[in-house]
Amino acid sequence: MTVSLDWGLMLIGAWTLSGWAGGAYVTSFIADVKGGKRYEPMVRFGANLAWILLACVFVLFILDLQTPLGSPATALHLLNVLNNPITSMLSLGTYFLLFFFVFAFLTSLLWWTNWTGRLRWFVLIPGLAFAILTMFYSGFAFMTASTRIVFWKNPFLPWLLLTNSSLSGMCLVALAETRASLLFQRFSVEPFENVLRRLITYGDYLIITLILFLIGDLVYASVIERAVLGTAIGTWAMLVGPVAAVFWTLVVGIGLVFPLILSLIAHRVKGKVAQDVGLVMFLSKLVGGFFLVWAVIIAGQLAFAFPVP
Amino acid sequence: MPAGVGVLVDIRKCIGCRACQVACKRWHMLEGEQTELNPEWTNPPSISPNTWTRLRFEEPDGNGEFLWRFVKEQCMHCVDAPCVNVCPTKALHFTDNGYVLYDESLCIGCRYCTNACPFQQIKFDYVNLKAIQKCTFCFERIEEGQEPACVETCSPGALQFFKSYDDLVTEIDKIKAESASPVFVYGLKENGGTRWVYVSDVPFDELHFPTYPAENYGESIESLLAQFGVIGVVAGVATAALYAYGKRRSSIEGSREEKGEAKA
Repeated sequence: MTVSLDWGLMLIGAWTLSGWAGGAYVTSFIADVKGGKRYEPMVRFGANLAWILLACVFVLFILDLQTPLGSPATALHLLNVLNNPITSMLSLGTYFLLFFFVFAFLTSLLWWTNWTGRLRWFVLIPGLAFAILTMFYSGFAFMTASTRIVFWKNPFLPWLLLTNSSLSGMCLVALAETRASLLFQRFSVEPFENVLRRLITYGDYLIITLILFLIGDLVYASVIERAVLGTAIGTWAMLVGPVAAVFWTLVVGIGLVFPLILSLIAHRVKGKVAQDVGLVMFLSKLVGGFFLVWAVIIAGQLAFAFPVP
Repeated sequence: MPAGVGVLVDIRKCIGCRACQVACKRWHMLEGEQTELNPEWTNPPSISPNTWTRLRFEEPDGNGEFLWRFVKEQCMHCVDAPCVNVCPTKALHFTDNGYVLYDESLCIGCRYCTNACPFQQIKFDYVNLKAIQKCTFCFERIEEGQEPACVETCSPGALQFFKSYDDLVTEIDKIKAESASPVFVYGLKENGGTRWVYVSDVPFDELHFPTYPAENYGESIESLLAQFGVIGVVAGVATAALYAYGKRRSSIEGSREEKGEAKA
Protein backbone atom coordinates (compact mmCIF):
# COMPACT_ATOMS: atom_id res chain seq x y z
CA MET A 1 0.00 0.00 0.00
CA THR A 2 1.51 3.33 -0.99
CA VAL A 3 1.43 6.47 1.14
CA SER A 4 -1.37 8.78 0.10
CA LEU A 5 -1.24 12.21 1.70
CA ASP A 6 -4.20 13.95 0.14
CA TRP A 7 -3.99 16.89 2.50
CA GLY A 8 -0.53 18.44 2.56
CA LEU A 9 1.09 21.56 3.96
CA MET A 10 -1.12 24.08 2.13
CA LEU A 11 -4.34 22.63 3.52
CA ILE A 12 -2.80 22.13 6.95
CA GLY A 13 -1.91 25.82 6.79
CA ALA A 14 -5.46 26.69 5.73
CA TRP A 15 -7.03 24.69 8.58
CA THR A 16 -4.60 26.25 11.05
CA LEU A 17 -5.08 29.84 9.92
CA SER A 18 -8.87 29.57 9.93
CA GLY A 19 -8.67 28.39 13.55
CA TRP A 20 -6.28 31.21 14.45
CA ALA A 21 -8.66 33.71 12.87
CA GLY A 22 -11.48 32.41 15.06
CA GLY A 23 -9.29 32.53 18.16
CA ALA A 24 -8.13 36.07 17.39
CA TYR A 25 -11.72 37.27 16.96
CA VAL A 26 -12.88 35.62 20.19
CA THR A 27 -9.96 37.23 22.05
CA SER A 28 -10.88 40.57 20.54
CA PHE A 29 -14.52 40.11 21.59
CA ILE A 30 -13.66 39.14 25.18
CA ALA A 31 -11.23 42.06 25.44
CA ASP A 32 -14.00 44.37 24.20
CA VAL A 33 -16.52 43.03 26.72
CA LYS A 34 -14.15 42.99 29.67
CA GLY A 35 -12.11 46.08 29.08
CA GLY A 36 -13.64 48.26 26.38
CA LYS A 37 -11.37 51.25 25.90
CA ARG A 38 -8.66 49.81 28.16
CA TYR A 39 -7.92 46.93 25.79
CA GLU A 40 -8.66 48.81 22.59
CA PRO A 41 -5.40 47.90 20.83
CA MET A 42 -6.06 44.22 21.49
CA VAL A 43 -9.65 44.49 20.30
CA ARG A 44 -8.53 46.12 17.06
CA PHE A 45 -5.68 43.69 16.45
CA GLY A 46 -7.99 40.71 16.91
CA ALA A 47 -10.62 41.96 14.51
CA ASN A 48 -8.09 42.95 11.86
CA LEU A 49 -6.12 39.73 12.17
CA ALA A 50 -9.27 37.64 11.76
CA TRP A 51 -10.22 38.75 8.25
CA ILE A 52 -6.58 39.03 7.09
CA LEU A 53 -5.97 35.41 8.16
CA LEU A 54 -9.19 34.29 6.44
CA ALA A 55 -8.06 35.96 3.23
CA CYS A 56 -4.79 33.99 3.55
CA VAL A 57 -6.85 30.79 3.93
CA PHE A 58 -8.50 31.46 0.56
CA VAL A 59 -5.08 32.04 -1.05
CA LEU A 60 -3.81 28.77 0.45
CA PHE A 61 -6.81 26.90 -1.02
CA ILE A 62 -5.90 28.22 -4.46
CA LEU A 63 -2.19 27.48 -4.03
CA ASP A 64 -3.06 23.97 -2.92
CA LEU A 65 -4.61 23.22 -6.29
CA GLN A 66 -1.25 23.99 -7.91
CA THR A 67 -2.82 26.44 -10.34
CA PRO A 68 -1.38 29.90 -10.98
CA LEU A 69 -2.32 32.12 -8.06
CA GLY A 70 -3.48 34.88 -10.35
CA SER A 71 -6.08 32.75 -12.05
CA PRO A 72 -9.47 34.27 -11.17
CA ALA A 73 -11.18 31.24 -12.67
CA THR A 74 -9.75 29.04 -9.91
CA ALA A 75 -10.98 31.36 -7.20
CA LEU A 76 -14.45 31.55 -8.71
CA HIS A 77 -14.52 27.81 -9.23
CA LEU A 78 -13.85 27.27 -5.51
CA LEU A 79 -17.02 29.23 -4.77
CA ASN A 80 -19.00 26.53 -6.57
CA VAL A 81 -19.72 25.19 -3.11
CA LEU A 82 -22.17 28.04 -2.57
CA ASN A 83 -24.26 26.98 -5.57
CA ASN A 84 -25.26 23.78 -3.81
CA PRO A 85 -27.49 22.90 -0.89
CA ILE A 86 -25.69 22.46 2.41
CA THR A 87 -25.33 18.73 2.71
CA SER A 88 -21.69 18.31 3.59
CA MET A 89 -19.60 19.50 6.53
CA LEU A 90 -17.30 21.14 4.01
CA SER A 91 -20.09 23.16 2.42
CA LEU A 92 -21.35 24.15 5.86
CA GLY A 93 -17.80 25.19 6.75
CA THR A 94 -17.56 27.29 3.59
CA TYR A 95 -20.58 29.29 4.77
CA PHE A 96 -19.02 29.64 8.23
CA LEU A 97 -15.79 30.95 6.71
CA LEU A 98 -17.62 33.31 4.37
CA PHE A 99 -19.91 34.82 7.02
CA PHE A 100 -17.08 34.98 9.51
CA PHE A 101 -14.97 36.87 6.97
CA VAL A 102 -17.81 39.33 6.33
CA PHE A 103 -18.47 39.97 10.03
CA ALA A 104 -14.76 40.20 10.90
CA PHE A 105 -14.27 42.72 8.11
CA LEU A 106 -17.30 44.72 9.28
CA THR A 107 -15.88 44.69 12.81
CA SER A 108 -12.64 46.10 11.48
CA LEU A 109 -14.57 48.75 9.59
CA LEU A 110 -16.37 49.73 12.79
CA TRP A 111 -13.07 50.24 14.53
CA TRP A 112 -11.54 52.16 11.63
CA THR A 113 -14.49 54.51 11.62
CA ASN A 114 -14.29 54.76 15.43
CA TRP A 115 -17.91 53.65 15.74
CA THR A 116 -18.15 52.31 19.27
CA GLY A 117 -21.89 52.70 19.85
CA ARG A 118 -24.15 49.91 21.09
CA LEU A 119 -25.24 49.04 17.58
CA ARG A 120 -21.85 47.42 17.03
CA TRP A 121 -23.05 44.38 18.97
CA PHE A 122 -25.26 43.53 15.98
CA VAL A 123 -22.00 42.90 14.16
CA LEU A 124 -19.91 41.57 17.02
CA ILE A 125 -22.29 38.89 18.31
CA PRO A 126 -22.90 37.18 14.94
CA GLY A 127 -19.17 37.57 14.32
CA LEU A 128 -18.45 35.74 17.58
CA ALA A 129 -20.90 32.97 16.68
CA PHE A 130 -19.27 32.41 13.28
CA ALA A 131 -15.79 32.60 14.84
CA ILE A 132 -16.67 29.79 17.26
CA LEU A 133 -18.30 27.74 14.50
CA THR A 134 -15.18 28.22 12.36
CA MET A 135 -13.00 27.00 15.21
CA PHE A 136 -15.17 23.90 15.62
CA TYR A 137 -15.34 23.36 11.89
CA SER A 138 -11.90 21.82 11.32
CA GLY A 139 -12.47 19.19 14.01
CA PHE A 140 -15.92 18.37 12.61
CA ALA A 141 -14.58 18.23 9.07
CA PHE A 142 -11.97 15.67 10.10
CA MET A 143 -14.41 13.70 12.20
CA THR A 144 -16.99 13.41 9.43
CA ALA A 145 -14.45 12.45 6.76
CA SER A 146 -13.45 9.59 8.93
CA THR A 147 -14.64 6.47 7.14
CA ARG A 148 -11.13 5.73 5.90
CA ILE A 149 -9.09 7.76 8.35
CA VAL A 150 -10.46 6.17 11.49
CA PHE A 151 -7.87 7.99 13.59
CA TRP A 152 -9.95 11.14 13.07
CA LYS A 153 -13.10 9.34 14.12
CA ASN A 154 -12.76 10.78 17.58
CA PRO A 155 -15.37 12.90 19.43
CA PHE A 156 -12.61 14.69 21.35
CA LEU A 157 -11.11 16.08 18.13
CA PRO A 158 -13.47 19.08 17.64
CA TRP A 159 -13.00 20.07 21.29
CA LEU A 160 -9.23 19.65 21.03
CA LEU A 161 -9.00 21.80 17.92
CA LEU A 162 -11.41 24.39 19.33
CA THR A 163 -9.19 24.83 22.40
CA ASN A 164 -6.07 24.85 20.25
CA SER A 165 -7.54 27.54 18.00
CA SER A 166 -8.64 29.64 20.97
CA LEU A 167 -5.18 29.44 22.50
CA SER A 168 -3.35 30.12 19.24
CA GLY A 169 -5.62 33.03 18.31
CA MET A 170 -5.12 34.55 21.73
CA CYS A 171 -1.34 34.15 21.44
CA LEU A 172 -1.36 35.78 18.02
CA VAL A 173 -3.24 38.79 19.37
CA ALA A 174 -1.00 38.85 22.43
CA LEU A 175 2.09 38.76 20.21
CA ALA A 176 0.78 41.61 18.10
CA GLU A 177 -0.15 43.49 21.24
CA THR A 178 3.27 42.83 22.80
CA ARG A 179 5.14 43.93 19.70
CA ALA A 180 2.97 47.00 19.26
CA SER A 181 3.28 47.93 22.91
CA LEU A 182 7.02 47.59 22.77
CA LEU A 183 7.27 49.64 19.59
CA PHE A 184 4.52 52.18 20.18
CA GLN A 185 3.98 52.90 23.83
CA ARG A 186 1.00 55.11 23.02
CA PHE A 187 -1.06 52.00 22.17
CA SER A 188 -1.21 50.90 25.79
CA VAL A 189 -3.95 52.60 27.73
CA GLU A 190 -3.59 50.28 30.71
CA PRO A 191 -0.11 49.48 32.02
CA PHE A 192 1.01 46.83 29.59
CA GLU A 193 2.32 44.49 32.26
CA ASN A 194 -1.18 44.08 33.71
CA VAL A 195 -2.56 43.08 30.31
CA LEU A 196 0.32 40.69 29.79
CA ARG A 197 -0.18 38.97 33.13
CA ARG A 198 -3.88 38.52 32.44
CA LEU A 199 -3.16 37.02 29.02
CA ILE A 200 -0.57 34.67 30.49
CA THR A 201 -3.08 33.48 33.10
CA TYR A 202 -5.81 32.88 30.48
CA GLY A 203 -3.21 31.09 28.34
CA ASP A 204 -2.37 28.77 31.25
CA TYR A 205 -6.03 27.81 31.66
CA LEU A 206 -6.32 27.12 27.96
CA ILE A 207 -3.14 25.04 27.92
CA ILE A 208 -4.41 22.90 30.79
CA THR A 209 -7.76 22.44 28.99
CA LEU A 210 -5.86 21.57 25.81
CA ILE A 211 -3.77 18.98 27.66
CA LEU A 212 -6.94 17.40 29.10
CA PHE A 213 -8.59 17.19 25.66
CA LEU A 214 -5.38 15.85 24.13
CA ILE A 215 -5.22 13.14 26.80
CA GLY A 216 -8.91 12.41 26.20
CA ASP A 217 -8.31 12.18 22.45
CA LEU A 218 -5.38 9.78 22.83
CA VAL A 219 -7.07 7.67 25.50
CA TYR A 220 -10.17 7.36 23.30
CA ALA A 221 -8.00 6.31 20.34
CA SER A 222 -5.73 3.94 22.21
CA VAL A 223 -8.16 2.41 24.73
CA ILE A 224 -11.77 2.67 23.56
CA GLU A 225 -11.02 2.28 19.84
CA ARG A 226 -7.91 0.14 20.23
CA ALA A 227 -9.50 -2.72 18.33
CA VAL A 228 -9.74 -0.59 15.19
CA LEU A 229 -6.49 -1.12 13.34
CA GLY A 230 -6.32 2.30 11.62
CA THR A 231 -6.82 4.09 14.93
CA ALA A 232 -4.16 1.97 16.60
CA ILE A 233 -1.71 2.72 13.77
CA GLY A 234 -2.56 6.45 13.89
CA THR A 235 -1.93 6.54 17.63
CA TRP A 236 1.28 4.61 17.14
CA ALA A 237 2.37 7.01 14.34
CA MET A 238 1.70 9.97 16.63
CA LEU A 239 3.25 8.64 19.84
CA VAL A 240 6.16 6.48 18.72
CA GLY A 241 6.08 6.36 14.91
CA PRO A 242 7.03 8.81 12.14
CA VAL A 243 5.12 11.75 13.64
CA ALA A 244 6.40 11.16 17.19
CA ALA A 245 9.48 13.40 16.93
CA VAL A 246 7.35 16.40 15.95
CA PHE A 247 4.61 15.52 18.43
CA TRP A 248 6.83 15.18 21.48
CA THR A 249 9.26 18.02 20.73
CA LEU A 250 7.17 20.68 18.98
CA VAL A 251 3.64 19.93 20.20
CA VAL A 252 4.22 18.71 23.76
CA GLY A 253 7.65 20.20 24.51
CA ILE A 254 7.57 23.59 22.79
CA GLY A 255 3.79 24.04 22.66
CA LEU A 256 2.64 22.81 26.09
CA VAL A 257 5.39 22.20 28.66
CA PHE A 258 7.76 25.06 27.76
CA PRO A 259 5.02 27.76 27.93
CA LEU A 260 3.88 26.47 31.33
CA ILE A 261 7.46 26.72 32.65
CA LEU A 262 7.80 30.21 31.14
CA SER A 263 4.48 31.16 32.69
CA LEU A 264 5.84 30.29 36.16
CA ILE A 265 8.85 32.50 35.44
CA ALA A 266 6.74 35.33 33.98
CA HIS A 267 4.69 35.55 37.17
CA ARG A 268 7.86 36.03 39.23
CA VAL A 269 9.67 38.66 37.15
CA LYS A 270 8.76 42.22 36.24
CA GLY A 271 9.24 44.86 33.56
CA LYS A 272 11.13 44.18 30.36
CA VAL A 273 12.08 40.63 31.40
CA ALA A 274 8.40 39.75 31.90
CA GLN A 275 7.61 41.13 28.46
CA ASP A 276 10.39 39.14 26.84
CA VAL A 277 9.37 35.95 28.62
CA GLY A 278 5.75 36.55 27.57
CA LEU A 279 6.80 37.09 23.97
CA VAL A 280 8.72 33.80 23.83
CA MET A 281 5.84 32.04 25.58
CA PHE A 282 3.21 33.19 23.07
CA LEU A 283 5.50 32.33 20.19
CA SER A 284 6.13 28.81 21.50
CA LYS A 285 2.39 28.25 21.98
CA LEU A 286 1.79 29.27 18.37
CA VAL A 287 4.45 26.86 17.11
CA GLY A 288 2.92 24.08 19.19
CA GLY A 289 -0.58 24.94 17.96
CA PHE A 290 0.41 24.71 14.32
CA PHE A 291 2.21 21.41 14.75
CA LEU A 292 -0.68 19.91 16.71
CA VAL A 293 -2.89 20.35 13.63
CA TRP A 294 -0.04 19.06 11.46
CA ALA A 295 0.45 15.98 13.65
CA VAL A 296 -3.29 15.13 13.70
CA ILE A 297 -3.65 15.45 9.92
CA ILE A 298 -0.45 13.62 9.00
CA ALA A 299 -0.81 10.81 11.58
CA GLY A 300 -4.38 10.24 10.41
CA GLN A 301 -3.43 9.98 6.76
CA LEU A 302 -0.39 7.83 7.50
CA ALA A 303 -2.54 5.37 9.41
CA PHE A 304 -4.08 3.97 6.27
CA ALA A 305 -0.81 3.86 4.40
CA PHE A 306 0.83 1.27 6.62
CA PRO A 307 0.40 -2.34 5.57
CA VAL A 308 -1.54 -4.59 7.86
CA PRO A 309 0.94 -6.39 10.16
CA MET B 1 -31.38 -5.15 -0.37
CA PRO B 2 -30.52 -2.04 -2.39
CA ALA B 3 -31.96 -1.62 -5.85
CA GLY B 4 -29.67 -1.31 -8.86
CA VAL B 5 -26.73 -3.15 -10.34
CA GLY B 6 -23.90 -5.15 -8.83
CA VAL B 7 -20.78 -7.12 -9.73
CA LEU B 8 -19.61 -10.35 -8.17
CA VAL B 9 -15.83 -10.81 -8.00
CA ASP B 10 -14.95 -14.45 -7.47
CA ILE B 11 -11.37 -14.35 -6.25
CA ARG B 12 -11.21 -18.15 -6.47
CA LYS B 13 -11.48 -17.94 -10.26
CA CYS B 14 -9.16 -15.01 -10.97
CA ILE B 15 -5.92 -16.04 -12.72
CA GLY B 16 -4.19 -12.64 -12.48
CA CYS B 17 -4.02 -11.99 -16.24
CA ARG B 18 -4.73 -8.25 -15.78
CA ALA B 19 -6.97 -8.19 -18.86
CA CYS B 20 -9.46 -6.16 -16.80
CA GLN B 21 -6.81 -3.49 -16.25
CA VAL B 22 -6.12 -3.29 -19.98
CA ALA B 23 -9.82 -3.28 -20.91
CA CYS B 24 -10.48 -0.40 -18.52
CA LYS B 25 -7.59 1.61 -19.96
CA ARG B 26 -8.72 0.98 -23.53
CA TRP B 27 -12.40 1.73 -23.02
CA HIS B 28 -11.82 4.94 -21.08
CA MET B 29 -8.77 5.92 -23.17
CA LEU B 30 -6.63 6.36 -20.07
CA GLU B 31 -2.96 7.17 -20.58
CA GLY B 32 -0.35 4.54 -19.87
CA GLU B 33 1.88 5.04 -16.86
CA GLN B 34 5.46 4.33 -15.98
CA THR B 35 5.27 1.07 -14.11
CA GLU B 36 7.76 -0.75 -11.94
CA LEU B 37 8.28 -4.36 -11.10
CA ASN B 38 8.19 -4.87 -7.39
CA PRO B 39 8.61 -8.05 -5.35
CA GLU B 40 4.83 -8.27 -4.87
CA TRP B 41 4.13 -8.23 -8.64
CA THR B 42 1.34 -5.74 -8.18
CA ASN B 43 1.65 -3.28 -11.00
CA PRO B 44 1.10 -0.30 -11.16
CA PRO B 45 1.86 0.30 -7.49
CA SER B 46 -1.38 2.14 -6.81
CA ILE B 47 -4.66 3.37 -8.27
CA SER B 48 -4.15 6.74 -9.96
CA PRO B 49 -6.09 9.26 -12.08
CA ASN B 50 -5.07 7.16 -15.10
CA THR B 51 -5.51 3.74 -13.54
CA TRP B 52 -9.04 3.13 -12.31
CA THR B 53 -8.63 -0.57 -11.67
CA ARG B 54 -5.71 -2.87 -10.96
CA LEU B 55 -4.98 -6.35 -9.70
CA ARG B 56 -3.34 -6.68 -6.32
CA PHE B 57 -1.21 -9.78 -5.97
CA GLU B 58 -1.57 -11.28 -2.53
CA GLU B 59 0.22 -14.16 -0.82
CA PRO B 60 -2.08 -15.34 1.97
CA ASP B 61 -1.15 -17.92 4.55
CA GLY B 62 -1.28 -21.26 2.75
CA ASN B 63 -0.33 -23.45 5.72
CA GLY B 64 3.25 -23.70 4.54
CA GLU B 65 2.41 -23.96 0.86
CA PHE B 66 2.80 -21.11 -1.60
CA LEU B 67 -0.54 -19.51 -2.32
CA TRP B 68 -1.38 -16.66 -4.69
CA ARG B 69 -4.63 -14.76 -4.85
CA PHE B 70 -5.47 -11.81 -7.09
CA VAL B 71 -7.69 -9.02 -5.86
CA LYS B 72 -9.29 -6.62 -8.31
CA GLU B 73 -9.36 -3.08 -6.95
CA GLN B 74 -11.66 -0.35 -8.20
CA CYS B 75 -14.29 2.02 -6.76
CA MET B 76 -16.63 -0.23 -4.78
CA HIS B 77 -19.66 1.98 -5.52
CA CYS B 78 -20.79 1.86 -1.88
CA VAL B 79 -24.53 1.79 -1.30
CA ASP B 80 -24.25 4.73 1.15
CA ALA B 81 -21.00 6.10 -0.26
CA PRO B 82 -19.12 8.41 2.14
CA CYS B 83 -17.57 10.25 -0.83
CA VAL B 84 -21.03 11.31 -2.03
CA ASN B 85 -22.05 12.29 1.49
CA VAL B 86 -19.05 14.54 2.02
CA CYS B 87 -18.78 16.16 -1.46
CA PRO B 88 -19.55 19.86 -0.97
CA THR B 89 -20.52 20.55 -4.60
CA LYS B 90 -22.41 17.34 -5.37
CA ALA B 91 -19.84 16.62 -8.04
CA LEU B 92 -20.06 13.06 -6.73
CA HIS B 93 -23.59 11.71 -6.84
CA PHE B 94 -25.69 8.56 -6.88
CA THR B 95 -27.66 7.47 -9.91
CA ASP B 96 -30.87 5.45 -10.01
CA ASN B 97 -28.95 2.31 -10.90
CA GLY B 98 -26.64 2.82 -7.93
CA TYR B 99 -23.48 3.94 -9.74
CA VAL B 100 -21.45 6.54 -7.91
CA LEU B 101 -20.60 9.04 -10.63
CA TYR B 102 -18.94 12.45 -10.70
CA ASP B 103 -19.11 15.65 -12.67
CA GLU B 104 -15.55 16.88 -13.26
CA SER B 105 -16.69 20.41 -13.95
CA LEU B 106 -18.13 20.72 -10.43
CA CYS B 107 -15.09 19.32 -8.59
CA ILE B 108 -13.31 22.07 -6.65
CA GLY B 109 -10.37 19.89 -5.67
CA CYS B 110 -10.95 19.84 -1.91
CA ARG B 111 -10.10 16.12 -1.83
CA TYR B 112 -12.53 15.56 1.03
CA CYS B 113 -13.79 12.52 -0.89
CA THR B 114 -10.31 11.02 -1.24
CA ASN B 115 -9.94 11.14 2.53
CA ALA B 116 -13.45 9.83 3.08
CA CYS B 117 -13.23 6.89 0.65
CA PRO B 118 -12.85 3.75 2.77
CA PHE B 119 -11.08 1.92 -0.04
CA GLN B 120 -8.71 4.67 -1.26
CA GLN B 121 -10.08 4.42 -4.79
CA ILE B 122 -10.57 8.10 -5.64
CA LYS B 123 -7.58 9.98 -6.97
CA PHE B 124 -7.09 13.63 -7.74
CA ASP B 125 -5.59 14.59 -11.10
CA TYR B 126 -3.25 17.48 -10.29
CA VAL B 127 -1.72 17.52 -13.76
CA ASN B 128 -4.47 17.83 -16.34
CA LEU B 129 -8.03 17.93 -15.10
CA LYS B 130 -7.65 19.40 -11.59
CA ALA B 131 -10.49 17.09 -10.66
CA ILE B 132 -11.00 13.64 -9.19
CA GLN B 133 -10.96 10.45 -11.24
CA LYS B 134 -12.28 6.98 -10.47
CA CYS B 135 -14.13 3.96 -11.87
CA THR B 136 -17.45 4.95 -13.43
CA PHE B 137 -18.88 1.41 -13.52
CA CYS B 138 -18.81 1.86 -17.34
CA PHE B 139 -22.32 3.29 -16.92
CA GLU B 140 -22.47 4.31 -20.58
CA ARG B 141 -21.94 0.69 -21.62
CA ILE B 142 -24.55 -0.59 -19.16
CA GLU B 143 -27.09 1.94 -20.42
CA GLU B 144 -26.51 0.50 -23.91
CA GLY B 145 -27.19 -3.01 -22.66
CA GLN B 146 -23.54 -4.06 -22.39
CA GLU B 147 -21.48 -5.10 -19.38
CA PRO B 148 -18.62 -3.08 -17.86
CA ALA B 149 -15.44 -3.40 -19.97
CA CYS B 150 -13.54 -5.30 -17.29
CA VAL B 151 -16.38 -7.79 -16.77
CA GLU B 152 -16.79 -8.44 -20.47
CA THR B 153 -13.09 -9.17 -20.95
CA CYS B 154 -12.71 -11.50 -17.96
CA SER B 155 -12.09 -14.88 -19.59
CA PRO B 156 -12.02 -17.08 -16.46
CA GLY B 157 -15.42 -15.69 -15.45
CA ALA B 158 -14.17 -14.25 -12.18
CA LEU B 159 -16.26 -11.14 -12.78
CA GLN B 160 -20.03 -11.41 -13.12
CA PHE B 161 -22.32 -8.46 -13.76
CA PHE B 162 -25.89 -8.42 -12.36
CA LYS B 163 -28.56 -5.96 -13.43
CA SER B 164 -30.26 -6.59 -10.10
CA TYR B 165 -28.49 -6.59 -6.74
CA ASP B 166 -30.97 -9.19 -5.51
CA ASP B 167 -29.74 -11.61 -8.20
CA LEU B 168 -26.18 -11.03 -7.01
CA VAL B 169 -27.14 -11.94 -3.46
CA THR B 170 -28.98 -15.05 -4.69
CA GLU B 171 -25.87 -16.08 -6.62
CA ILE B 172 -23.72 -15.70 -3.51
CA ASP B 173 -26.15 -17.87 -1.52
CA LYS B 174 -25.93 -20.46 -4.29
CA ILE B 175 -22.11 -20.43 -4.24
CA LYS B 176 -22.09 -20.84 -0.48
CA ALA B 177 -24.58 -23.71 -0.62
CA GLU B 178 -22.71 -25.54 -3.38
CA SER B 179 -19.17 -25.12 -2.05
CA ALA B 180 -17.70 -27.91 0.03
CA SER B 181 -15.05 -25.63 1.53
CA PRO B 182 -15.69 -22.36 3.41
CA VAL B 183 -16.56 -19.34 1.26
CA PHE B 184 -15.91 -15.86 2.60
CA VAL B 185 -17.95 -12.87 1.42
CA TYR B 186 -16.96 -9.18 1.48
CA GLY B 187 -19.15 -6.24 0.51
CA LEU B 188 -22.67 -7.21 1.49
CA LYS B 189 -22.39 -5.60 4.91
CA GLU B 190 -19.04 -3.82 5.12
CA ASN B 191 -19.33 -0.05 5.28
CA GLY B 192 -23.08 -0.35 4.82
CA GLY B 193 -22.75 -2.52 1.69
CA THR B 194 -20.96 -2.15 -1.65
CA ARG B 195 -22.00 -2.88 -5.24
CA TRP B 196 -18.81 -4.82 -5.93
CA VAL B 197 -19.06 -7.90 -3.77
CA TYR B 198 -16.20 -10.40 -3.40
CA VAL B 199 -16.19 -14.11 -2.62
CA SER B 200 -13.01 -15.93 -1.66
CA ASP B 201 -11.70 -19.17 -0.25
CA VAL B 202 -9.26 -17.19 1.89
CA PRO B 203 -10.31 -14.89 4.77
CA PHE B 204 -10.37 -11.27 3.64
CA ASP B 205 -8.06 -9.99 6.35
CA GLU B 206 -5.35 -12.20 4.82
CA LEU B 207 -6.01 -10.46 1.50
CA HIS B 208 -5.52 -7.07 3.16
CA PHE B 209 -9.12 -5.93 2.75
CA PRO B 210 -9.87 -3.09 5.15
CA THR B 211 -12.13 -4.04 8.04
CA TYR B 212 -15.12 -1.75 8.46
CA PRO B 213 -18.18 -2.16 10.59
CA ALA B 214 -21.52 -2.91 8.96
CA GLU B 215 -22.90 0.49 9.93
CA ASN B 216 -23.28 2.98 7.10
CA TYR B 217 -21.90 6.51 6.93
CA GLY B 218 -24.93 8.24 8.48
CA GLU B 219 -25.14 5.86 11.47
CA SER B 220 -21.43 6.22 12.14
CA ILE B 221 -21.59 10.05 12.18
CA GLU B 222 -24.69 10.06 14.40
CA SER B 223 -22.98 8.03 17.12
CA LEU B 224 -19.89 10.28 16.93
CA LEU B 225 -21.98 13.42 17.31
CA ALA B 226 -23.74 11.95 20.35
CA GLN B 227 -20.36 11.26 21.99
CA PHE B 228 -19.18 14.75 21.05
CA GLY B 229 -22.23 16.20 22.82
CA VAL B 230 -21.60 14.14 25.96
CA ILE B 231 -17.99 15.38 26.12
CA GLY B 232 -19.23 18.96 25.70
CA VAL B 233 -21.73 18.59 28.54
CA VAL B 234 -19.12 17.00 30.84
CA ALA B 235 -16.54 19.69 29.99
CA GLY B 236 -19.15 22.43 30.49
CA VAL B 237 -20.23 21.09 33.89
CA ALA B 238 -16.59 20.69 34.97
CA THR B 239 -15.77 24.26 33.92
CA ALA B 240 -18.84 25.65 35.71
CA ALA B 241 -17.99 23.67 38.86
CA LEU B 242 -14.38 24.91 38.83
CA TYR B 243 -15.55 28.47 38.28
CA ALA B 244 -18.04 28.24 41.16
CA TYR B 245 -15.35 26.68 43.38
CA GLY B 246 -12.92 29.48 42.52
CA LYS B 247 -15.53 32.16 43.23
CA ARG B 248 -16.50 30.56 46.54
CA ARG B 249 -12.88 30.21 47.58
CA SER B 250 -12.01 33.82 46.75
CA SER B 251 -15.11 35.07 48.61
CA ILE B 252 -14.18 32.99 51.71
CA GLU B 253 -10.62 34.30 51.55
CA GLY B 254 -11.99 37.83 51.14
CA SER B 255 -14.25 37.51 54.18
CA ARG B 256 -11.38 36.01 56.27
CA GLU B 257 -9.18 38.95 55.34
CA GLU B 258 -11.97 41.35 56.31
CA LYS B 259 -12.38 39.59 59.68
CA GLY B 260 -8.63 39.73 60.23
CA GLU B 261 -8.57 43.42 59.47
CA ALA B 262 -11.55 44.02 61.80
CA LYS B 263 -9.79 42.13 64.63
CA ALA B 264 -6.61 44.12 64.11
